[in-house]
Amino acid sequence: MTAITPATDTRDTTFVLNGTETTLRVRPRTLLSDALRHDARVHGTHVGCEQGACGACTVIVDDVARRSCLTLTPQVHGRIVETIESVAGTVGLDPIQQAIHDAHGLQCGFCTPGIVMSLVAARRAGADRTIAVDEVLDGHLCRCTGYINLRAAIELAWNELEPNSLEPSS
Amino acid sequence: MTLLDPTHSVTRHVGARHERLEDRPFLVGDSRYSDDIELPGLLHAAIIRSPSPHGIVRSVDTSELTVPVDLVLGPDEIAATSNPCPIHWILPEQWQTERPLYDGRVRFVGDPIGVVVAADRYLAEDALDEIFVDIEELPPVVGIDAALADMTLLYPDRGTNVMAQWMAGDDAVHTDAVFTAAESSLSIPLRIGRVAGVPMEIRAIVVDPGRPGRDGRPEKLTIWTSTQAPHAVRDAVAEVCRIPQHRIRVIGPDVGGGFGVKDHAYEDELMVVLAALKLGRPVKWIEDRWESLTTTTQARDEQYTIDIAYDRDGTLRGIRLDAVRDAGAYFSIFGAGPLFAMTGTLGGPYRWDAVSSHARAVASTTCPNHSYRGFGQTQATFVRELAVDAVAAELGMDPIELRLKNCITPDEQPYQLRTGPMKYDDGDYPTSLRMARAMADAWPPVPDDGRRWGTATSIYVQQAGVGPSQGNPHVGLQIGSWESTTLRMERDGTVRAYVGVSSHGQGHATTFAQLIADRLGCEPEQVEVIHSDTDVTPYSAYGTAASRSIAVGGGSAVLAAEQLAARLCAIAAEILEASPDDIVLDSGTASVVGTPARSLDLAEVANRAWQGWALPAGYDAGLVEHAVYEPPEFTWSYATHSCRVAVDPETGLVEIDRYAVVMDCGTVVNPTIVEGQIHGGVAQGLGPALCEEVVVDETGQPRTTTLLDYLVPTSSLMPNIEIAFQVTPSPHTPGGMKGMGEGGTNGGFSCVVNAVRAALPEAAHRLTQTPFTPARVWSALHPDQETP
Amino acid sequence: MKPPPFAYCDPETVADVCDLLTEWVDDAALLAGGQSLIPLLNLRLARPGLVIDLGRVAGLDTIEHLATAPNHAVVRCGAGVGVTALATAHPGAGVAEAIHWIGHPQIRARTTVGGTIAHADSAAELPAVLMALDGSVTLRSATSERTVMAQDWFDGPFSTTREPEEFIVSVDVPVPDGPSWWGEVARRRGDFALVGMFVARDRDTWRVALSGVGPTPVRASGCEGALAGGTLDEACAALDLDLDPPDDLHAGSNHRRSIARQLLRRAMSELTPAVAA
Repeated sequence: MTAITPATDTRDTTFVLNGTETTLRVRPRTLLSDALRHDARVHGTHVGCEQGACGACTVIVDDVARRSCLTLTPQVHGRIVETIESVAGTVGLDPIQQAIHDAHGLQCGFCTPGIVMSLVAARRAGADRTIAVDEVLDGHLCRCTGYINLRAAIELAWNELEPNSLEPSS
Repeated sequence: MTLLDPTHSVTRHVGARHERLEDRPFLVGDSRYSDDIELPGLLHAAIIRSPSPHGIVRSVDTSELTVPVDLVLGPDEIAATSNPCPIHWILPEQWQTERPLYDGRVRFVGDPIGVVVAADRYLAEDALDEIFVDIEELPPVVGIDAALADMTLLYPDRGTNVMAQWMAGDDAVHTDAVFTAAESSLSIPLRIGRVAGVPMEIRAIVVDPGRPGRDGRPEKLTIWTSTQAPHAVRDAVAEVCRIPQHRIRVIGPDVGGGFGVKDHAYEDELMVVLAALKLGRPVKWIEDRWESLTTTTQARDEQYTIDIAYDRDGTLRGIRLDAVRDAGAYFSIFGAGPLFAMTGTLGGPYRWDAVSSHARAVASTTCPNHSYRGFGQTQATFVRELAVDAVAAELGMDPIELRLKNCITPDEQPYQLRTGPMKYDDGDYPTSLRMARAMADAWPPVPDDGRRWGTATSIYVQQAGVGPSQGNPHVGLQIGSWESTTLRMERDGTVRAYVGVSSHGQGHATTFAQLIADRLGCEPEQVEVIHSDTDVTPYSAYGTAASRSIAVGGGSAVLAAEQLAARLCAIAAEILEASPDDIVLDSGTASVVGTPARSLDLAEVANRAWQGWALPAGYDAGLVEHAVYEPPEFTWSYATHSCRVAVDPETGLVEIDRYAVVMDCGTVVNPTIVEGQIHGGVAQGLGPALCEEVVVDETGQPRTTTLLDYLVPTSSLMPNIEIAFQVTPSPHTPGGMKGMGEGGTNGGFSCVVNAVRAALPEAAHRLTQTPFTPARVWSALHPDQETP
Repeated sequence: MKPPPFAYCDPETVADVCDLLTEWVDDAALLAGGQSLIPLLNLRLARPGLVIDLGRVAGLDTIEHLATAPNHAVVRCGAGVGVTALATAHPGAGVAEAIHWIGHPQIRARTTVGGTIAHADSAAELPAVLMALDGSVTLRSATSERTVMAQDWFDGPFSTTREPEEFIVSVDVPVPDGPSWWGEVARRRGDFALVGMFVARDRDTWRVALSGVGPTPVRASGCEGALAGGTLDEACAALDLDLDPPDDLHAGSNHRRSIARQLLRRAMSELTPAVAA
């Protein structure tokens, strides 16, 4: 028979977080966003709505971008989780981050980590620039930039990825 | 002192597209927002809120509570241990001049009445489920008509729901005469929808009461909070929670957007402070999105009749506004200020024989309406530009030609407004219109795709750079408009700039550094801009709001930098045995003009100042300058927005096809950052024009409580924007900046609304309520089928 | 907005899930991709005693192509199959297009076939596809297994004929032998549809179903009949009669009818040449 964790008990969730095996002991209802921020104390993942709508909390689980606010912590047991802290080195930036900087694709910065994580996953999956601009970015809300410079940043980053297809998507 | 003395500085950085200096932490996840603050022993709060839109609180029953909690702070104790919240703007016939945290009644769904504190937010929310608020229900008052009917009163002892009213501009006799004399007039009823600010970071506060002082009160209460105005929060905490100001430190760490809704301390935050004080332990409260869309102050929700008088040759004669604002349950810190700003800026860039407004703010059992990007000037642009387009349509005139015919010309500047003791500055509005027309003329022809196409152009003149302080009491504003900057050059020539305005996305760390670096002949990277810490940074009553940071705060930074430059020149002159007037600061050196060999590194000059010896006569040791900038006038930035939309008549969906902006905000410190402000501003203009709307049903229950119901623009709704600049530096501001953060919203809302109306001329008279949702557009086209 | 307390388990076999449901019945909530359940938990609109995480249950992630009759095939998806995998596996272009309209990529990547069919949001895409194609749902409980046709599955807003001790093990999505089409009008890309429409040509008949126009996905039978022999205008008129759309925050009833008519015209303008060819 399957073991049931009572509501008030904690449960160990072991996963690889940014390359390091990590065990968090939390109640099963703990959202992954909260476990990352307040138990693992990696604060770069932001919580904007807890409704799945804004995308600020997006992380990568087993190579796929997903909302950490729509993920229960035990669901990532045995999985590989990447957050914004894993993307850049101690100096320098990932080309996606660099492009967002170069294109002035951030203002208040709150939505930025989620967008970076979605774009990193899209790049890894081989998404072309049209998908990145039209679909991946549409899964995020940004209230400062009006998205124009974020789209420009995607073009910059994908120019580097796809040097042979420099024509911008509309 | 002489500003911008060319012998002392070389402009290298102002006007350059300097990369933002503050970006890296935000890109790599190393930023620090309020919810990132962790403290030993930190507890977590949730707010006890009214489930009812209107009623008298009988009790807050905690007898069923099984969840372990550290504190339940109920309304009676809150009322007994606090003073009322101050209101900073007292308008004519306004009786609500302060607001208690609790007065026995609730007046909107979500009205805060208590705090529960537990070990984490999950438990605190569990406790909320077990706390029963017993309310004697009163009828809800929803909508302006219901409020004006005065059948149910929110404040029965006042006898009316009208909270303030005034006349602005020309009096009724003169205005009536102008309308009678004019050859024609139009009267248009309009309704602007209620909006929510929706910063991506919702409200947040962490309160550390620290250790008690000798009187048992905190020795130093430290607050981290997501705010546009740390000093305003400090002032409110001091007043409401009865703590001396010097024992409060308010820090705005990284702040994830404000847009007006974070310009003050809310009841919720003040109650959390009271809870932390009572517990003697640090407490964190992070708003959730339901609360944000329900209880964070909203905006607009106004009903207008706009009358416009004109002659058949297209001469505009008079504009008259009757406006009623649904103020919601009570006034927040700036009261009905946005409506006041609307009536003050109604005339825009045109010559009028009469500009007149009658304005009322009424109470309803809904979330308080307050500041939002544009602060009433979006509304002024909306009604005026819509009326001007209606006149053009009536006369069969080209809307831009009509505007050009009536636009104030540069040779008429500075032009005296009819709505107050204010003068426009040096703007060239006709050129703005012509440049925008040229950009729109270059757009490719529209395809024949079955959709209806419309183009519109809107122009506004924005009252930015709030000031001067001595004018404020005449309009009931209780705070000053000045800003100040303290600069300290360290021994190695690097600079710290302590500024009063706060940055939450505006890029101050870069633009203020550019302003300062040019005056000191150093690099922006050598200037650290420090803001949002009331123990450290200069006082600012507003913080960052009202498009004033670069105009007023930046003006003070320029003054301080010029003072510091003068001091550096004097010390360098002493060392180089030259006249201070002959010293040039450039590229990290102080040198004698025309004699580059006679040169010192700035570090050498700075070091001498801190050594304190061999200084010029009359100079003290050290390199610290403080400058206050009191704006002598408002600054008036302006812009023309043009856009082209396509409307699908069968679905009602609107696509924005093309968009162009011609902006004049005076000196452009950093074009990239200004463009970013335009982009975001336009997004916040087109959102409420097309999709953003707070809906409260007839029972007083909010219906748009998630981001799947309150629809903010996504990337696919946002067009690219062509931007061109005019640069007419402000004659007032040190540095010439005019301020522009709200401009995109002012122009964007009106421009999109008018383009949709232009696309559907036969239905324009039915398109009078924003946002123009697919439902409203479709219904306007099919009036016999249903009403939205 | 934190979930209320609940017990949690992540069983590994179908039999274990059956046992848990036998014990917990309607106090249990089944967690698949979580993109519908977790928002409800966060808003505390769902308050289950037990959340059964189906993520580790073996055998729910298979996709089979079955020939059920001459010229007639079915894609049988385990309940845990992601909708994006179904989009790849199903030959119907309209099915893939419908799936492409599910939320945003970050949501879609977690959306499962069983989850969206069980959640039964009438504005969602896959339920309308299942209705149009006469798909079916196979359920298991500790004591029985049964298969329910789509038309008998959806019985109200967010409501199905699932018994509390049952859960979906697989969903059959038939393959039409002709072209298929999905179109949708939403206020923003990724939002639930104001109206979505699936149209397929299948063994010389038309199949039409819509989302967003009623308490359940709606099969437009009158419209299907009119398409068989009548003009497009007659089909639009029949479609009007098939529908009784709701008035809500986002669109009124006649407005939704107007959108539906536009979708039908778009569908036929794209499908008719394909059928003729």
